[in-house]
Amino acid sequence: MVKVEILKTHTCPWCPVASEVVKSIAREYENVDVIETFLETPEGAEKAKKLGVTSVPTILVEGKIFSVGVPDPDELRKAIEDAVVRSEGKNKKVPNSFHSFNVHGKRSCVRCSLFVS
Amino acid sequence: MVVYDVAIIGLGPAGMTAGLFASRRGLKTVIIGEVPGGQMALAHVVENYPGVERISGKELTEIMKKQCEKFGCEIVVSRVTDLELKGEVKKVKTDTGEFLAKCVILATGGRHRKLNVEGEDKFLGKGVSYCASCDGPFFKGKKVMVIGGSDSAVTTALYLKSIGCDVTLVHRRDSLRAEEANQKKLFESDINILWDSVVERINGDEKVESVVIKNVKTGETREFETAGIFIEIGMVPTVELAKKSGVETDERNFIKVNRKLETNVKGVYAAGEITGCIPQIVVAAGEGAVAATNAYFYLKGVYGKKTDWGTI
Repeated sequence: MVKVEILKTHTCPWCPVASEVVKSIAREYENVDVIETFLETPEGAEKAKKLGVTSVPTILVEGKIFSVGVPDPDELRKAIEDAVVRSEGKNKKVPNSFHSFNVHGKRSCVRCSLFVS
Repeated sequence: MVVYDVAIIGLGPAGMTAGLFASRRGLKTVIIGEVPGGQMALAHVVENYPGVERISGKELTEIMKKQCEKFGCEIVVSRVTDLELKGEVKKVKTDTGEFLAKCVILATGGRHRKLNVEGEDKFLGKGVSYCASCDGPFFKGKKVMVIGGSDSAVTTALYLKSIGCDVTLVHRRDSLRAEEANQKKLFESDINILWDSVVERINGDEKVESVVIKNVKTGETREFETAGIFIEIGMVPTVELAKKSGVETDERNFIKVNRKLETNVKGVYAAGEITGCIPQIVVAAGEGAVAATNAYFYLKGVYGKKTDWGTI
């Protein structure tokens, strides 16, 4: 089982968006477990401190920081598939015909794409 | 396929107020946006929304959302990927499907402007932040800098101070743009202010450690130790899709509208920061109401007709 964890807070307006993206991508696979960890809890605060997290949302894949901000769906898929291959030796991707994010091959991190020069 | 009377793009105060007014007029209405509340949701405290003494941006978002849903407005949280605005029926393409509507109200607001300095991208999420509500608590007890002179910058500085950060405000001029009420609170706090100063470079190894500040009047540069930088230097309007679909913008890249908030495309309106209005929640909300009301008149074919109250 590949573990994807969203580190979030209750006051962060981007965190629900990130959660939705992660859960939507996770539904495309049969062996991905999504966990949401609020940093206002002692366990969450400890985890953030241990990993050096200073921004939310932060996405962890298999316990390691994958991205900060709302994740790029394609990049997250790749990270999950790489983790599945590492843990089980073969790709267990189950295509979902109701695939909800069409990113046209472009980076689509919402938080990053909101900032321009 | 369902054809809505009005599709509103953007879930901020302009969009949600437009949704409220359109649905109260009996129009079949949908609001489509990525982040409920938009920039309003980032405000940790709002004290200048009439009728509400003090509220967080998140709470005000929830109230506005429930209010427009109460009158039948549909809300879809999704990213708009394309717009086809010419013709009687407009098409709005999103990550989760397509929506057809006779009228479209563009209320997409803006995005945070970047400093465009070395280190800004490298340390995003590692000390560089555009969201104090999100990341402020990580810097409790630490030195932080807030860049900007607007209400957003001043209230961000005050918020970070209130949660225990050691705050310095950096502003490129010798006076602030913020409301006098906010400036008074700032001057009464012990927040240090660096006037006539801009950020030259953000330094660090794995995370932000210091920032080089330049005085624009003397040319002197100095390095300051800091753990976090919160950038609040204004917004850039989100107009790319609208422009691609034929909507005209002005020389500042805001959408061109007339007094009815009509754009150059028939049946398409714009409201909120995207029109270049004063960037306050109440102003955006007011424009949302104006755009929705005029969309209603357009759909009912009453423009130019004489009524007892004058010609619409």
